[in-house]
Amino acid sequence: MNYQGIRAALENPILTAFTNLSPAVPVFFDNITAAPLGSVTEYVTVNLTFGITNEVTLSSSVDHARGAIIIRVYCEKGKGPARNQTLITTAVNVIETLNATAKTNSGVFFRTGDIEGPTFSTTEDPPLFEGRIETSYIATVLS
Amino acid sequence: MAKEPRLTGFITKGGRRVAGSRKRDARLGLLTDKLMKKINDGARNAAVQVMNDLGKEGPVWSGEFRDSWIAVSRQEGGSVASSGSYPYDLSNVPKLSLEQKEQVKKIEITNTSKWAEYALDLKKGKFTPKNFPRPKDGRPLHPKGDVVATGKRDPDSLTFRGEISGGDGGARITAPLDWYSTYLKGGKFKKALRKGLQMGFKGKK
Repeated sequence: MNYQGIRAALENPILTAFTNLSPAVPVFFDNITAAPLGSVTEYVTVNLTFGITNEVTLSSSVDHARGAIIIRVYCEKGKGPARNQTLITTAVNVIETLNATAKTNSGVFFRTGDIEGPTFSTTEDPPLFEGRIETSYIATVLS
Repeated sequence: MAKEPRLTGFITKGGRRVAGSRKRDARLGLLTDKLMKKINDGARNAAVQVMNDLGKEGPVWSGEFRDSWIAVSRQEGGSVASSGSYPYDLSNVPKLSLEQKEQVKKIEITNTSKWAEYALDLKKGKFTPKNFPRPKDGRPLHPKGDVVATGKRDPDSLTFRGEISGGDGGARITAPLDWYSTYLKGGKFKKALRKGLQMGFKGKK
C-alpha cells in the first residue's frame, strides 16, 4: 500500500493551489510541527485520514484505500464569510479537479464523495473565523 | 415452504443493482411481518455494531464519553431501550415495531455526554490542566484509554481536542483528530451497517 502516494495525490495540488494565490495562504498538513499556534493571520489545515485500507477488490494487483478529508480555513473574524468562502472554493476546485481526472495506467486514481459544508464557526477566539468542509475518498494505487 | 416475495429493489446475479423503494414494497404488500422482523433485527444489530465501533474508535479519558452512546427509536411511539455502557449489546437498542413499514430511518445514535462536541472534534476548547483533566471533579489524571499521540497545545487559544503539535509536551490524546469523520467516511461505518444487517438476516443475536 502506497499511503504516501495517496496523501501526495491530494496534498500536492492543495498546496500548489493555495501557494499560487496572491497573497499565498499557508497550508498545514498532518504532523507538521509548525502548526499555527496562536496565529492571527489566515491559514488552512488539511487532515487526510485513512479508514479502511487494502480492501478486497476485483483485482489483486491494486491497492485500495478509503478515508476522509477535512479541510479547515481560518480567516479574519468580523469581516463576513466572503474571504473564507473564496478560500474554500480554492480547496473545492482542487477536489473537483481530482474527481474529473481520468484514470491512467499508473499513479493514484482518486475519487471523492459528496462534499459536506462549508460549515462556519464563529466560536473561535478572535481574530479568526473558521470554515470547514469534509468529504470521503477512495484512492486506488495503480502502480 | 412458501417462497418469500421478491422486493422491488435487488441485485442481479450479474451484480446489476435494480432500484426499488420501501414505499413501493409496502404498497405492494411485499413486506411481510417475517421480512420486517429480519429488517428490524438487522437495523438493531447494525446499531450495536456502530455504537461499539464508536466506543472503540473514539477518545477515552474518563470513559464517560465512550459510555454515553444511546440508540433512540425514530418510529412513532417507539420504545426506549436501557442506556448502557461500552461494550453495548442489543438490550441498549430499542425494539422496533413491525408496523410503519415504509419508514427507512429507524434508529438514531447519539452521544449524551456533555463533552460530546469536544470529543467529536466539532468544537474547540481549552484542554489545559486547569480545565482538563480535573481530578477533583472525578476525572482521572491519566486516561483510561490508550494514548495515540503526545505533544504541545497552545495554552492561550482554543484548540480542537485532537489538535496537538508534535514535539515535546504534556498534551495527550486518546483518539486522532477527526476520528469521527474518518469513521463515518472511511468505510468502517458502512462495514458496520453491512455486518449488522447480515447478522439480522442470518438470525444471529
